[in-house]
Amino acid sequence: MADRANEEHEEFLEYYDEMTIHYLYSVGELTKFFKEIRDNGKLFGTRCTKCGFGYFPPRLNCHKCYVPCEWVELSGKGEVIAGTICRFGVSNFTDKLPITIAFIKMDEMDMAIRHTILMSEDECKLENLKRGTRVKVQFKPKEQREGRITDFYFVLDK
Amino acid sequence: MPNRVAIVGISAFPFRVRHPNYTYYRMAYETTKKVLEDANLTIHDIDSAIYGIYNDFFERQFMPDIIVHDYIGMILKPGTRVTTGGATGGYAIRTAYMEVASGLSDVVLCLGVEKSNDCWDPVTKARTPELVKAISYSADCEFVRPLGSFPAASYVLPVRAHIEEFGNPSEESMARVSVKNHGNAVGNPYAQSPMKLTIEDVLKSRYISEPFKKLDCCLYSEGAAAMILASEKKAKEICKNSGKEPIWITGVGAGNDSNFGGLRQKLWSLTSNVYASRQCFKMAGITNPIKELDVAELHDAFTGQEILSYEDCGFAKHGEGYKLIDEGIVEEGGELPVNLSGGLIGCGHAVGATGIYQGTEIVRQLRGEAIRQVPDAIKGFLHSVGGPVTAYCVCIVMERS
Repeated sequence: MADRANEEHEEFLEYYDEMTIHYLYSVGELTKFFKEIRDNGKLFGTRCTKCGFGYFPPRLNCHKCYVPCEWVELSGKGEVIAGTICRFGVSNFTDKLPITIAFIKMDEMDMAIRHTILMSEDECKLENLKRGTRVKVQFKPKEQREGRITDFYFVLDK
Repeated sequence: MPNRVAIVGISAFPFRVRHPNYTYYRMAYETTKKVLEDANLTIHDIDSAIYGIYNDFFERQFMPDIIVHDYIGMILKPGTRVTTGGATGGYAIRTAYMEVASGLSDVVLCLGVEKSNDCWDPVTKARTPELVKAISYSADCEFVRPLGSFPAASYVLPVRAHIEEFGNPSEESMARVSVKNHGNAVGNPYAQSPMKLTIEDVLKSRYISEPFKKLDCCLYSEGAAAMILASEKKAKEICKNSGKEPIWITGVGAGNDSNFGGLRQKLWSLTSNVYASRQCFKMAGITNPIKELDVAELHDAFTGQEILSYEDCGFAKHGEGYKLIDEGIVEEGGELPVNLSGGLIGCGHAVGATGIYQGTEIVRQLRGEAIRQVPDAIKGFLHSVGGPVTAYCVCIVMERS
């Protein structure tokens, strides 16, 4: 079994570099969504005022009806549509493995969000991530919340 | 109807983990030189260029296309860069096709290049984790990237949904795709990962994103590929001089699905693939692809994704794609061989070049110059996929007259 990873090369020089841009960016119309997470530990989706489709992640306009959506507070409960256990990851996540990623449909919503399910070592098996598995939201302690998507995660709702 | 368009030249630069003795623009130059030789043209004969270069972080350069444009001698001619994730190559061919079919240009260079493995993580001293971090900026940066998304996790979720819906594909069926594509790459000098494997080798490899294992996944590569597309009149002139057969593009389809996979009502179907392939087959007048096509190159970034693509491209009913690999239909010598080049799994994934490289394999098959030649191949199919949860898809039918 030999791929070509170890082929030899002529002499070459290598240099270290990085591409970094700093931002102070606005989340615009999503301010309410992130503020509710940070300040009140509440999840909000949106619902189209015409067709009633529930968006989570929220969007303020329905792309089908081209009309505004309204905010809807969620119960924080939902179910798995599909999930995976990642045992490899992006460089800034290699110390957090394994990570469980799943599409989760909140009960009041019509689409699923891709998010993390925090599982104990015992729980961390594909058989515990079957379609329809009930999950519930858990927020980080208030002092750790920054108003970001990472302020919450999901756990099995047993 | 668009004007007829033919592919009159092809070339590739070998896909390897690294080409440390080449800059991306020199790889582009070498590939351009070869494609001009194949078509017996000079750079002065090219009216316009389309560049497939996916990720600015890979090249460590924004607008890398203008650097390539200069380096290959296209100064003061039009050049357009395409960047649509893993489907960059397919979309580059579609864009070059549009340019010729519209009558705007007569002879167009379609060139894909990527230098992905300069990315390097100083903490783990490894390249791939940093490379997938560069890719993760293609996921929604508010809702998806902060959670640690990477391509295998993104592409495994539809496969997991398919397993839930239909009870397949099994890990064994996926392993067979790995064995097939690594094996098909044996003897292909452009391939990064030619390997004779057994199903057990694949099943024993470590989990990356369950149930995908290491040998279910393609590897990222550095490399390049190119084509020259020409109008009917020009194609006949060029091919008369070069002695090569013109390969006609007779079907083109494309469609982009939702960026948020969770918006899709049937996660187990790659609906962009359904839309793009149907549009493409309709244009090419194909009603039964598995019978009418002689050879296909599918975007097999992951084994399970290849199996779902059999279904979504209409080669099998939903839930029955696994039979095509289990029963040998997509193997060399089967009814519709898939990825005789080795695909992404066997050749590697030099992202912006990948779709174009797979297109060059179809052209070789139709010219009768392929390494694993399908006897008397007349119609070939190219499928190019990318983006979050396979959002982008381009399909192209090519034919020999």
